[in-house]
Amino acid sequence: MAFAWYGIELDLDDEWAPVSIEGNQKQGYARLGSTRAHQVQLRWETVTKPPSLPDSVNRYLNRIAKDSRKVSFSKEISLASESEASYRYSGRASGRGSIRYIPDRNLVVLVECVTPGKDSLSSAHQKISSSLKVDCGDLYHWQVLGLNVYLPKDLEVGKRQLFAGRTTIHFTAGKHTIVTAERWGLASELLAKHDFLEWARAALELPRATITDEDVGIRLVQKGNLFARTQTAVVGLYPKENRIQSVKVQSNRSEWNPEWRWIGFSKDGSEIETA
Amino acid sequence: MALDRLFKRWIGNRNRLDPEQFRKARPIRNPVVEWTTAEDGSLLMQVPLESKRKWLQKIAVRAKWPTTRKFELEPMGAFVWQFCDGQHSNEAIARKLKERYKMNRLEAEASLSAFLQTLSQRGLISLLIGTKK
Repeated sequence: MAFAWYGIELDLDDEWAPVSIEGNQKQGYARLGSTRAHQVQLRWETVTKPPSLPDSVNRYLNRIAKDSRKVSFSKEISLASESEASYRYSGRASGRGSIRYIPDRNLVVLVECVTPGKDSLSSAHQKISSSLKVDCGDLYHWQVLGLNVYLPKDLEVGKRQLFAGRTTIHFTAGKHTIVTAERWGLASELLAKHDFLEWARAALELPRATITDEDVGIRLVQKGNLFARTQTAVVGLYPKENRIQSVKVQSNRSEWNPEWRWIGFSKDGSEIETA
Repeated sequence: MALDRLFKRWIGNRNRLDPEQFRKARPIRNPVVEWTTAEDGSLLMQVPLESKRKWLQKIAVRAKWPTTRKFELEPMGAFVWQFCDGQHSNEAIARKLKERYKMNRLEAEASLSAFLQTLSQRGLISLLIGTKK
């Protein structure tokens, strides 16, 4: 299972699941927990100029040292290159992490593995931090609890609903546009009971929408009026993963028209790897 | 009122399983439950209704009250039910659920936990906690 948020992606085993996600495009934090007591922390922050990575790590570790008063605290920082530094610490908890500067996005990303005990984290951290990818194109990758979409970079996360079998994230682009990305599990069970087109119309709450079958999936368009925005959605079925995914856009601006690559399909219908 | 709440919290905590214990617990069916499988994979279960009070039983027979309680499980519930044999841990069942229905780990564990809680509340299963013999 990969985890991707604002185009910052980590490739993780299935045992990892998000515990807490906070922040926005400029600055944020995600914590992922495993069935063991280990945790992975992902922090990101937009900077105006290239930072001094050892200083940033030092500041961060001093904060942790402050929290683990009365317990001996040791730290070690090593600079791998101008844009990457790694560190380890041991105090109330042990951690091993790395910090990277991504010049194309003016972004500093920190990936850290933490354990409350003294277990070795080097191989876990090596594997996880080397899988870090940051999107710098026009689409950012979002992947959490089975939802796997690529959306325009200007979006900010709004409400999130992470239910068993259904993952929904609402995004906003200014005041004019709302984008909703949704993933339903148990697709074969759902479609055994309902017709796909009718199900999509009901699930996306677009009762008056016109539906077009575009081979890759279906597109629903519900024209707006003086009081309501135009709503357009693309819905794809992924039989291999037994899931259905959709992206719905509510906007009166014509440039906000959902594309198939947003839900991971190229125009010929094949699934694309990354944006 | 506050004492009542405190008491409930104290009692409540005593019966609560921590996540690790829950993962290792093994659900086992209530032996009085009888079930048949339908063609579509769903399961029809029957639990005899018996009252410890004999006078109440007599009234029930005279009044022709139902003697069994019926439950129906959808195919997914039936899939879980077949592993409630006291041999499979919740962790193992969640893994099977994940593979069969292509769910993610968290999703499989959360739905299994909710489902087993419902079965347990209706007296259809019990959870075995401790080492397997």
